[in-house]
Amino acid sequence: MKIKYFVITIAILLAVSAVFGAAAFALNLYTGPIIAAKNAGAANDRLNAVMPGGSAYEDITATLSDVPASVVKVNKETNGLGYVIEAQATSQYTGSTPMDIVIGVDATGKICGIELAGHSESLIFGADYPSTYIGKDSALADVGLYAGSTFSSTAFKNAVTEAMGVLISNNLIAAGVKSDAQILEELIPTVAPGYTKLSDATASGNIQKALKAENDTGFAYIMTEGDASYLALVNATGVCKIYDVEANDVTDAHEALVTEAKAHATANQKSYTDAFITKVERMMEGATEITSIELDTFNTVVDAVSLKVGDATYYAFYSRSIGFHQMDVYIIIDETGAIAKVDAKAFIFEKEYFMAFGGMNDAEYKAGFVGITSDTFTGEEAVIATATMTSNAMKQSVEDAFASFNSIMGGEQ
Amino acid sequence: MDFKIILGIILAGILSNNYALIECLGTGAVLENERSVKRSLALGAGTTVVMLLTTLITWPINKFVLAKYELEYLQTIVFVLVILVIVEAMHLIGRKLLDNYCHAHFVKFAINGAVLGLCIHNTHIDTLGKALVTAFAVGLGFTLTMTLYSKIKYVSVDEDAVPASFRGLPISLLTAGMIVLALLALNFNI
Amino acid sequence: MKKTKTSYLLRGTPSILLVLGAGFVMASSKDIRAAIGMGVAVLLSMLLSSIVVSAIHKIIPNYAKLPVYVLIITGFVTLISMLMQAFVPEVVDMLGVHLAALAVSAVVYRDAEEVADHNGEVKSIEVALVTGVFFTVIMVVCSLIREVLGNATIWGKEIAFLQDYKISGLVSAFGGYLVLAIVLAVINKVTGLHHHDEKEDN
Repeated sequence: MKIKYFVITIAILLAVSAVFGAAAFALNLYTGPIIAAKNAGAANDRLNAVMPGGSAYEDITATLSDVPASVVKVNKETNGLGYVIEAQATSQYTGSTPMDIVIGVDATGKICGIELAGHSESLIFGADYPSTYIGKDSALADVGLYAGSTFSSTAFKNAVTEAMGVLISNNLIAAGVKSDAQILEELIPTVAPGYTKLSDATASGNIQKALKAENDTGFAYIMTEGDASYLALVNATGVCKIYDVEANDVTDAHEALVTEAKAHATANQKSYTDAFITKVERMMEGATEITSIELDTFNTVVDAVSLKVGDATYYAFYSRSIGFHQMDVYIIIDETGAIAKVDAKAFIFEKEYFMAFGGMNDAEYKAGFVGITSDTFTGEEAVIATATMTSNAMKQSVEDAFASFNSIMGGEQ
Repeated sequence: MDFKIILGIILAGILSNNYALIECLGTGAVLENERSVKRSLALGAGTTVVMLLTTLITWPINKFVLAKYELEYLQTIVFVLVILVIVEAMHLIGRKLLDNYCHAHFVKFAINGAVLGLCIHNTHIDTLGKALVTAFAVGLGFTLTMTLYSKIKYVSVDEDAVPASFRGLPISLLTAGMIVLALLALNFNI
Repeated sequence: MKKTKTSYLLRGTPSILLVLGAGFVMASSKDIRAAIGMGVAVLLSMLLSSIVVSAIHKIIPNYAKLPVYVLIITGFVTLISMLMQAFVPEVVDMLGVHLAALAVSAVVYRDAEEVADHNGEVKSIEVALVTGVFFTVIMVVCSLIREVLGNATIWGKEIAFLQDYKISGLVSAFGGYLVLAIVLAVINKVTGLHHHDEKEDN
């Protein structure tokens, strides 16, 4: 009897839900389009926020060629006001949740609005950093990186550049014209990869702009001679190189600029030599004939010396790469090019991934480098589990020491 | 599934994701509860079973039918239908499991906002396994909350000592509010 | 037990229904727009379901009444929330799952069950209206207190001079209990309608 009640109840319930289901279906024919339109409107809000006066958009992503992975969607404002690009950027910090960037580009190719959404970076940057992009064309003149968040702001800038690049390569906007100074400045990471976090220093004379690497690896100068602009680099050991806008090494043709750049650098360069020599004496017992060497590499190595222990000659390098913090890495290489000893003032694990402390044997880690040459170095030796940034910095230090060593050996031969 | 995830979901169900008091779903059922600990536990266990069974049915329905054919607007009515059928079915077979007093109240009790809210929230969870663990955790939290509440309200609170205008619902709310405050304190999220 | 049943039947006064509806009252009183939206939804769903229930209660067998009524209410809540989604989507976003949960809210179905079932249409419409309006007023009063003092906004607009004096606890879950309790106590005091000690019922 009970079962019968149950069955009847279920039957009535099904009947009632069928009635209301049908009513809901009918109502949805009316409300569905309204809701869809409102949702589309909400999506447009995001686009309108970076496109003043924008109203309707058309997704033209599929019609474009060479769309990089960072560009998610390209929307064309239907009244011809410009384009809104939805892009994503990833950096070392972003992990699995990339930064969402919405970039509005007006018809003249200038950025008219930009927003970073949905990522913790928006907390770090605030709205101020993205707003430095507003009004710029694809050349992004005077747009720097965000101090303290270099990796993320680099990723951000690259994403913006790639997004603008899509519009340019598809002939939708004209490319911005870069000034010579800007071209030269953008050359720095290529020719002086060790210079990190450049900050402005006082400019004088022919020096239009002086930039100092925060890790004291050297200086970069934008200089003028006659009508032409040049990039002068001076590394921490006082060696100078001059590049023209085509990135050619024109050092020999510009003696005057070399002298001026060197003078500026010497006056401002922090010298680590004394401390470094003391450190080397402690690392290699019985070291004699410690002599400073000038380097013509522009990497993270700030100082180099040659030394003798007994009859054997060694070369010691001091690299200031940047991991989670500033690193101080000392690498001693013997004549055959094999690492004899590695030390570091502090492996900076204290803030980054302090978990690394537990499983990490400091002495063993350093000993792991001994005997490696530039040919056998794979980078694996530098890996510290859970401390990616410190590992990467360590790897860079070792590679840079090898590069500087090779340039010394090449120079002597 | 990782044990840590399961533990996390269960703790959240009891503390931060507490439906009855913090999310205010099924609060009525809790505030009205003046049953003994044993009966509270029996009804709570019954409700937890309802939550598990409805999740087992509504999660796949949502994923493979409603979301697939863009029928989300039917979600509430379909879910409520499922809840009603399950509650009625449990009522049919549950006489032996619940004592008579609880059995008589079971239908009214088990049809509450917590069960429906859980089904709807669970549609945002990516796997059925996690959804079921969540259902269990929420049921556990619900049971604990209503037992705790009735114990505090009807054993510890002396209504005669309460100002006249605060008697009845206001003091019930404040009592529940104290539990909420304790839960929120554990939630670091006031 | 007999007495408990009797006390259910006595639920003509909306204030006692508040025990059952306390959940959605607190959930929707963080913002005045949500409160009004919820009030309208409660009012309409009670009204429509009362009408339907009093029309069909004679043909529904007793044992099936409760689930069928709940489903009828759910149907109306679904339709109402679809309309709200279309015209006031921001209110629906604020209410979230609580709008759907209204379908199984005891306050609505017990009203349908006990009033519509035992009274004529006119009486049940009257009760639905009174209860709906009462709930709306309570929610609006609570939401005014919570939104203005807790969030320093009104109708979503910032109130400049209150920005530095936000009592953010009021918009938390605890604030809901506190404010509702105080509001009800004040109502009790003002109207002189003291709640009878429930212990006597048992």
